[in-house]
Amino acid sequence: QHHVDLSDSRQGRTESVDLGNGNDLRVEISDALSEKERVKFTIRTVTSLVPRFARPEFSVIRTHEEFAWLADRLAENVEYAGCVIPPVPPTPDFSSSREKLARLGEGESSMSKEEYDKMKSELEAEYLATFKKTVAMHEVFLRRIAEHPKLREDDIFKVFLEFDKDLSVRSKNKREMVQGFLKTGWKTVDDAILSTQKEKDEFFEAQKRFITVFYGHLRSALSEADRMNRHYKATADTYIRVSACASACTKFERDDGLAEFLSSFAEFCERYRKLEGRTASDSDLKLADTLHYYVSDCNSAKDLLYRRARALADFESANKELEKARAKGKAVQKAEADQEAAFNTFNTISEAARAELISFKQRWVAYLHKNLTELAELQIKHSRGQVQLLTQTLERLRQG
Amino acid sequence: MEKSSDNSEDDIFAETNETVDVEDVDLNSSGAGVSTPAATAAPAPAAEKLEPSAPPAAASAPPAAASAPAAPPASNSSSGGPSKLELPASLAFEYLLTVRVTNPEKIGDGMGAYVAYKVSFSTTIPAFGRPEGSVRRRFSDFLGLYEKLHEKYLRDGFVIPPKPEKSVVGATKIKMSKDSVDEDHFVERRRAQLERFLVRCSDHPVLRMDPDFREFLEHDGDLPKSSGTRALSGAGVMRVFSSIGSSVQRMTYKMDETDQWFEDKNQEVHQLEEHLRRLHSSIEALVNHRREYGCMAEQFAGSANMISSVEENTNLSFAFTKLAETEERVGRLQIEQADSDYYGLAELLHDHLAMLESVRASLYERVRAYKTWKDAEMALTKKREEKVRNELGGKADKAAACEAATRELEGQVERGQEAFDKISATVRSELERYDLRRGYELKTAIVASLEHQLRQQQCVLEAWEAYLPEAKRILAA
Repeated sequence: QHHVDLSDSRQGRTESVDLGNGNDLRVEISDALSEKERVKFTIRTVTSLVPRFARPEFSVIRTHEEFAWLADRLAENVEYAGCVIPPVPPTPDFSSSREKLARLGEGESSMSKEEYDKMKSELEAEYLATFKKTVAMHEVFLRRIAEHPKLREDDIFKVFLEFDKDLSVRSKNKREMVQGFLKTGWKTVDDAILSTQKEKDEFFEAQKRFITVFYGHLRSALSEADRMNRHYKATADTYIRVSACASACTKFERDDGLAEFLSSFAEFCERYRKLEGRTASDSDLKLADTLHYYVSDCNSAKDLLYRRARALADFESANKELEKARAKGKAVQKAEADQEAAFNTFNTISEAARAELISFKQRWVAYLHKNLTELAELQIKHSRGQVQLLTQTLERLRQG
Repeated sequence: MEKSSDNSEDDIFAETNETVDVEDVDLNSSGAGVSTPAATAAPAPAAEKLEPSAPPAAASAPPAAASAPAAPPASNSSSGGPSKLELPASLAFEYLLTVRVTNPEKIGDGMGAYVAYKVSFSTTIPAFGRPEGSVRRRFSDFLGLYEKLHEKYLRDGFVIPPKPEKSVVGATKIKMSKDSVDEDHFVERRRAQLERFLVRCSDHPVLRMDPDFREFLEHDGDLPKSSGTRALSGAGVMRVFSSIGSSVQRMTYKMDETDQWFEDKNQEVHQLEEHLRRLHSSIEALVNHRREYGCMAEQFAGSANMISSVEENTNLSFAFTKLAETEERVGRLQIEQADSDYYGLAELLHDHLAMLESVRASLYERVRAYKTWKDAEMALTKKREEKVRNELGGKADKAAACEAATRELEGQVERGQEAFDKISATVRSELERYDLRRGYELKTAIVASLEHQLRQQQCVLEAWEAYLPEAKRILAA
């Protein structure tokens, strides 16, 4: 079980940029508890919208499944067809940390106690970082809903925030899983629609083109950023071994000068790896995580384009039905009504989508600005630290 | 003339060479006989390769420590020349001898093709014909030199620098960066090994004066094809058998060690080997991870560029281009550092593990000398007993024969003890010298690695500092 104190980590968390719905509904994850198989988030809401909510301040405990449930409910609501639905946060996954810990346990006999302890505390730090990240992602998800003019009014969202008993959300049973697969099946059909549909509107044409190509590049950039950071972290961690070996050598060296030299070197390795480790994890946070989120969000934007495309397809087929009806002279009124309804649906979605996609872009420009700037600042800070440590160490080693 | 067969039982005083008397060179000195504390400097090799794109990276950050272990960390082209680590006084010489191995060049085509290296030297040693010069040598020439030195000097307890490896590639698992050619890497590894071998010989008080060594450096034109390196030559086969024999002997003969220094030393060597091995493997892991990191960073840069090309927002697009540039630069710097640490640290440690084999061989030669001496003692005792038996049994002429044999054996015992004492002294001073040397080489290599890292890290810092304004500009109008 892991209880995480989040009060001090507010600064480091991925925060969505508030584009201005004021502070009348503030949502945060104030606590999180990691139990064997699941994480329990404590969500605290502070609001001035009192008639709508029962109290100005309240908390509930939710699991990841309940977040996923909320995301699904929002996504399937046709009212929000013209919105970019905030992407569901990734499932909390500690498997890689657990694996590494297991591997460390296996190798315990082949390394010194010092080395083992250091690697263990490094892994624990990693675990904690993963934990904080998942909390941040879940919080961002809720915040975006709270900031979205339409979604924040949603009743299910209200229930999610307020209802202080278990939502009894069971994970998808077989039937729902199959439905999920079918939905993905539709997606590929949607892909085809998206690419072949004739688009008169230049704005949406450009959006389609952009998102599909862009998405692909984003995903490869993301996977490379991840690999890059993994190796960087591995490099940093290997310094623990080097440090331990250098330390071990000092124990039997007859030459005092050399022993001291090696001991200084061992100490250097230990301090240096902390810096490199931090650089790696900051790169992970500011670069890779940003890209992860960008990918999820682009996915949501894509979903929006699909929905609009489907509505357009529906409208076009309603048109054809109307023509047929007029040609046959039968049930023309109904056909006209259907066509008008389809047109309205399409139009509503299209207009909403236009606004959503523009604000999506604005949001991302701002978010990238923030994170890339912070990335550069942190890299500079750590680099300076490394340069300083190297300079100091060299002085010391040369003297001895 | 030297004896070429390995007969340890007779004539322990076989002259190893004509021109150098071992006593003249002060092996136990701690500064005696040294007028200038000059280090024998073999500066960093200019990175001249077969292909310009070969690793390690070229002139900007030469792998200073990859070259002569005695080289002070200052590399020719480094900015802000770092202060040199002081060479322990007892390792320095009155006369300088610098050697370098450069310009690997492929000669010929097809089956008969080989690589020739330029071997150059510069010296103030009077025995050399001229103060500097260069020749072309191939790998088998180096092996031949090693065999000769090994044969001449090992039995007196000298620690011979490790033999250049025949198969360099399969020795350790190296993952190369995507754009480096395996062949270039192999050649560079070999070149560096050959250079370290020659430098270590040139830094050895006895080996540097050896005429075969001198001929290797000075003789213009090809050396006689060294027969010892061909697999099926008579001498080669003999050598294989004798070396097998000695390793078996090593295991079975237990020496009665009275000298505590040697008792401790044996333990130490064992421990040292274990620790060096671990250190070596951890450094290799470090180098590999760093290299992977660098390669991935370069790949990421490619993707970032793709993103930039699609991005419509000009500022954002530009920011991604700049990010790509930065990560590519950082990636390149990391790869350079990995390479430098590989040649400078990992290979050095690998060398020292091989050196420990030589150390063991020397220690074993001492044990052999002991055995010879003690065997002679036993034979003497038996002979004396035999003589007494003959005398008591009234066999006067047999007794007389025994008397003669006894005299002979007494001489052998005396010589045996002298030889043992002499080799003990040699081995001891060699090992002390080697310890100092190892310490010096390790310190120099670590300092060089850190200096290289410092330079790289300063470049990384500059790269990110250049990027920051670009990131900030994303929100500019």
